[in-house]
Amino acid sequence: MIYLDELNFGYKKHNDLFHHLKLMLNAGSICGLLGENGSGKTTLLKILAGLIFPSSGNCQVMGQTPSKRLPQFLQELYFLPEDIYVPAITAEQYVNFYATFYPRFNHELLKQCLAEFEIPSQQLLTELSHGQKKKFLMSFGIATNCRLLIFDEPTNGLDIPSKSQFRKLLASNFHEDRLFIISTHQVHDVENLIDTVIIIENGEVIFQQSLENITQKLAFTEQADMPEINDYFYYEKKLGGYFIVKPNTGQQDTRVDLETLFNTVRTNKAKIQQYFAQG
Amino acid sequence: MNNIFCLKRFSQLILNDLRLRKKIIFITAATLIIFSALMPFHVTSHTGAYFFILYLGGFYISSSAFEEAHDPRKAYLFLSLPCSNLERFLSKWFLTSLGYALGILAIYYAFSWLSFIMNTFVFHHYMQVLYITDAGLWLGIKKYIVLQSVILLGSILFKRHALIKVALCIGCLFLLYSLFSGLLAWMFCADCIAYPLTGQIISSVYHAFWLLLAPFCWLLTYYRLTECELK
Repeated sequence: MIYLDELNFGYKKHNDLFHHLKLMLNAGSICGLLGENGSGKTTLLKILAGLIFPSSGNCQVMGQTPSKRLPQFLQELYFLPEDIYVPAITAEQYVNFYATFYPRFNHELLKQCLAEFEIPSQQLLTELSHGQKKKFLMSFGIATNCRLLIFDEPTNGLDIPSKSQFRKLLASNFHEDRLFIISTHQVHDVENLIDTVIIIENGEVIFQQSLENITQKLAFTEQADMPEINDYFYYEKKLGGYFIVKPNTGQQDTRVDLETLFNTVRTNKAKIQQYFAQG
Repeated sequence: MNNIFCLKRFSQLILNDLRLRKKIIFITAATLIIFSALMPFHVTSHTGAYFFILYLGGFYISSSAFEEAHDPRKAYLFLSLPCSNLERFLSKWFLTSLGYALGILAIYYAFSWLSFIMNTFVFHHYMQVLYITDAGLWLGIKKYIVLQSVILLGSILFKRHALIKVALCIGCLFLLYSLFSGLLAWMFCADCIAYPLTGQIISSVYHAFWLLLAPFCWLLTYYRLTECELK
């Protein structure tokens, strides 16, 4: 569904953020795009959505070139930015204005989502809180039934119940033809939701694996004593012991902690890449 | 599926723009009504006031036609809405150019009739209704459509104060044109032998300007829109 090859992009000339970037993503997964601030997450999402254009390289999304912004492409894509905008109209009016552009828009599903998030349909969107605005736009995005959903920091500004409602709604409306990309630096918010992890650093995809693969290859364990050298990829001191990430040699089925995984990859980039490349 | 132009999407875009700006449309309409009510009734029978509203209001709204494309918070909605760049351009063009001119004309014409009725039946003073088939009226509208294309181009090129910046650019261009025509006159008309030829050249440039200006600006506006990014 997404194919990036030798993609270059820079906000300034001679200062590329993405240099020969390669990325391939297929439908049927919910991807978590993780990275530090300024690593290029939002830029990558904007390139995928056709909102900014790469300086060179191949960028194909659903078989189309995003920069052309053809209706056929745009009606299969919904992009929710971090910094949202809503016009001074009610939720109902918003739907009347924009839903017609999406041929598979599901009004019933939107009603369900709005009810779940408790968004009033008769109140002006500009009068809603930031979190409510975001929940409305998320609901709209889910109801568009687009094949590609791109959410940039969707959980920013959401309260704790809304975060779990968001996960529930996304998971329940996911199917094999769709691809959801969620960029976040609040990794705990997308735990139990994503099935693929992409870590981006300084404009480079340094890690891209399915959770299944990660579980097979890495073990996330706790122990009281400090781990021995060469026995681990990464460890963190925690209350009463150590949290360790190590090769999963004993076929243990441990729960992936995204934050620890992120730190593991960031601090042991080459080692982890080599380990996963071994097959 | 038509990826270039679809009447349904185009009309929906126009409708959305009108509905989203209904507050400002109502305020403008109310101002017009108050303005017309305060003026002597015969004002509406002349094209002068119509052209005043057409040019001043039209240039103002045209200068902010693409403000969504420059506002990073609004641009994502404007650029990622499933419609083609041509539809985006044409909807803005229609609303600020032909649609605006005809819409204002319709309102003005209605006022002209109201004025006629009031004058005839209340004040027993006979006056003419706005002569809608007047060639001068349509020539003025044509000129507006041509000149407005420059403002529309300015609104996509300049992030802020598009109207002032366009006015400055036009001023510079006219200065260049004057220098060019002056230079031609000085070169060939010193003894006034070649005056007819120089006059012809200047006249050709003038006609070419009116003929080519609008299509050139529309084309540039469209291409600038296709290159618009959310940086």
